[in-house]
Amino acid sequence: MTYNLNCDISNSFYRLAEVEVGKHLYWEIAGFKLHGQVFIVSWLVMLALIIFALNGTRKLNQIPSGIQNFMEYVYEFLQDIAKNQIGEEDYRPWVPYISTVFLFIFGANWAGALIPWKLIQLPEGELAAPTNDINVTVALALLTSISYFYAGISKKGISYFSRYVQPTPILLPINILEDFTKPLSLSFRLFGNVLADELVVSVFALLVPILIPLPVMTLGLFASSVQALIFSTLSAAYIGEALEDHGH
Amino acid sequence: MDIISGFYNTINLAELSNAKTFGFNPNILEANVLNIAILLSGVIYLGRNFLTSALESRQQKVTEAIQEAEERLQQANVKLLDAEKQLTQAQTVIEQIKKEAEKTARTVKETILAQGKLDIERLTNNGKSSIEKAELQIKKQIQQHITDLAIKKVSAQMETFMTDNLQVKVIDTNIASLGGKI
Repeated sequence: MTYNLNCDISNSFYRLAEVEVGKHLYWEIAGFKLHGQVFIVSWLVMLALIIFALNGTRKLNQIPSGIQNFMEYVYEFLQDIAKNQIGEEDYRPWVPYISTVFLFIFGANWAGALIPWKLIQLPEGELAAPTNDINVTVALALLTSISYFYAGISKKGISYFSRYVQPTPILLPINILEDFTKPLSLSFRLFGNVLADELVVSVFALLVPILIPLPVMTLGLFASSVQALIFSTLSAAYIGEALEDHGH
Repeated sequence: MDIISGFYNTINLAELSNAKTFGFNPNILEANVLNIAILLSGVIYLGRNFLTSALESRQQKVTEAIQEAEERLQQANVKLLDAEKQLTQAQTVIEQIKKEAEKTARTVKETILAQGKLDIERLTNNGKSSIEKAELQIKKQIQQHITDLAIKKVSAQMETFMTDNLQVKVIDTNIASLGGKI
């Protein structure tokens, strides 16, 4: 759909602004159509994260300073998320996954909100936060699903599936349903938040381009960081749930 | 009017069929650049304040923790040295005590042995003397018994054999043997 605001001033047309939803920059590879704009921004976010990681770990001092200090601060924050949700014993192997999920979503959302992507014109569609595409959020949610299955099965073997009949076998259908609702809710929560914020900002910018969209943009920044935290915390919680022993 | 509206319609169609390519969109208002710039500067300003204070306090805490750990390491090392010294001292004292104990044990053993020998000697001597005493006593008793028996036998014999004449003869013989002159 394309929304056009056309202003008729003394018989001539001025196109003031445009909001495009549902238009993508299509790349064709091996018969599949990819959303190119998502890949471009994702690769830029990944590049930024890798550069940050490489820089922060270059010259390590015993007393941290500068970027090493900041990186350790971030690492402690992420380690706390994993430790609180998964527990002291098995949390360590999962810190990389949880941190990556958090940092990617956080970086993607903030990059989408704080960088003026619309200055770059694409043949079709426009650059924005990659998490405004349902495919990205579903992919992340499925990664979390695979992770917690892997965690449970690698720790308990086949007896992982005894979880489905605890505490009573009556709950078996609900537990099975959970395996579908968990990735569904994760993906839609993130997708809805990011896309809705983008749309609201675009519509505000369409109507009153100067200063009025700022409160909504601030709300968007805050909401998107909260969504990153929620996604990573819930992923850690599901993994912790799959790893926990009977009765907690 | 019709011609002019027709003209505008054509321009309208032409605009709608305009194909886009990669490029720079100069429409600053549409690109929201102003607001983004304001928001970004606000975020950087607030973020820098918060981050510098948080990071500084963190650095301080880390430095303090490291210093404390090093101090504790030093103290632990000193205590270790002290404990080792005490251990060696205690071991020498143990050696001394052992030697002295062995010496005392030996002397005690010897005294006991000597004492034992003395006791044995004494006991044997006592035994011997008491045996001798007993022997003497028994000898005396036997002698006495024999004497008694002899006297009884003699008196018994005398009562049967002794007559008045025999008695006078015996007394005379005895007086004669005494050399007395009647």
